Amino acid sequence: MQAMSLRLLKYALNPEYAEPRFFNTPETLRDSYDVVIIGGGGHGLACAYHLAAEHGIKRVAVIEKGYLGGGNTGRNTTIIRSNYLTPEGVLFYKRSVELFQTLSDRLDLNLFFSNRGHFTLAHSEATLRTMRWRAEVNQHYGVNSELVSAADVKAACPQIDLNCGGNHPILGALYHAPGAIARHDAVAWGYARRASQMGVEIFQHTDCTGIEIESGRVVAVNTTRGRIKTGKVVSAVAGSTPTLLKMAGLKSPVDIVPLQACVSEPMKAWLDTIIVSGTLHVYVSQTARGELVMGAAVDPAELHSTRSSLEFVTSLADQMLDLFPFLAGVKIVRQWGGMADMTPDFAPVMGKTEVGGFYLDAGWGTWGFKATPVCGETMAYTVAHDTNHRLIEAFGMDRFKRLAMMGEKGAAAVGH
Amino acid sequence: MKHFDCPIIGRRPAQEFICSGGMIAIVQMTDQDAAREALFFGDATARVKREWWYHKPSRLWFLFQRDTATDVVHSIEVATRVSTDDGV
Repeated sequence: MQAMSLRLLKYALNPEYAEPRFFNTPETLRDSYDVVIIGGGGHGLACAYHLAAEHGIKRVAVIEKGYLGGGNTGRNTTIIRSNYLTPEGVLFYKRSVELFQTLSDRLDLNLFFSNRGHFTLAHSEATLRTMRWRAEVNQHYGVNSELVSAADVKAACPQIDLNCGGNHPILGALYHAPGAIARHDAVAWGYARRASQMGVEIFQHTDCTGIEIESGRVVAVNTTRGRIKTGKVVSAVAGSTPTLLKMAGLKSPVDIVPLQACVSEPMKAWLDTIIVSGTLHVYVSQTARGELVMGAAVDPAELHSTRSSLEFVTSLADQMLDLFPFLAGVKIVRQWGGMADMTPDFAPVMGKTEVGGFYLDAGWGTWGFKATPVCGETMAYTVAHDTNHRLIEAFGMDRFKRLAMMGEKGAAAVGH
Repeated sequence: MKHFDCPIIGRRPAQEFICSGGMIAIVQMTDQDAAREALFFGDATARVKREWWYHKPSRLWFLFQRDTATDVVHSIEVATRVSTDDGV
């Protein structure tokens, strides 16, 4: 025993057997990169990974003003699903779910991807009607999605009060079998490691201070570590998109609104599925650690802050107790907020912009984490070919000027 | 809980209000491109903004001067025909 401990200590202290860092942390920027990605969250890192892995573009810098995955990547409620309402949305998120299903293998990292099934509850005939519509669109595009009865909800989740305290009885639900959760920070770290292994350079605590444009094209990015010459810039900074757009001389179709979430103390596993109620403005799942992760609708007004509020947690608790009265004695242990990029039609804003070489991955409102892999894939394609990937053609910023809205509100968020 | 000190109705809880967003420039609706630009695009960075807020119980509209970085409300006035005319 003693000999083993000493041997272990020898390996621990021997620099030859040092545990490799997860990703590189170079000290200094190079003068130029082929692509600069602003934002070291899941989306930006996934884009870097796909640029290197699929397009051979490895002279890539990812700059992040805080720490890796510390923005909305680490603040969401980790739900993955594809049961959207518009054909463009369904096809886009369907691809994302497919990529998520094999992502642990691809990144060689356990992302704790857990297929749970996803119930969106209907408390009114009007909601049931929209769900029938969603199920039809979903099935047409090959997404597993169906309308189920209240009894089916009860069978999958016996703890639920179908009467919701008599206030909003559950009439049925949209059931989406592929619905899943995953460790969100692991997704960012997994992409960062793979990208880093292929030569992508990652700079944390590096703020973008300006974007230089000449004759309508990006020529450089200024940062707190110095100037970088580059012809291609990707903005993947949900929560700070208006600031980046202003640097690029563009007006913003995105408004910033806080989205809050919280977790309960851990408890024995009892909630296998993901439960969502648009009427009650709640969504909940149980993590591998036993905590309930709970979220609600966005805050009522624009605010550029990650503060969390008492109003949020009390109103969420109120609605949760209508669904699960037995949770009355359970404590909330953490609550936090993120800054969400809200768009008028609840769909993202992606792809090329009026500024040559300035690519946008924005408008991620309350639906960004689940899109991480497909954003990486489609943005990398778009940057590499300077042509919007077919899956994101409908999400261009010019759609507002053409009044070609996406109409994803009924499927993208709760509380409307 | 958060409250707002308003003219006419006094101190009321924030939950009684709906924020209808910032004031946008008034444009001639005959110029479609300008109208669409004004409706959907703007400076959405953090700053002190003039916003429309609706008080549900009294059905009164108010104009707030609010800092969207700190959530501090600098002033609240009753929205009138006159105050809508100054646009942004």
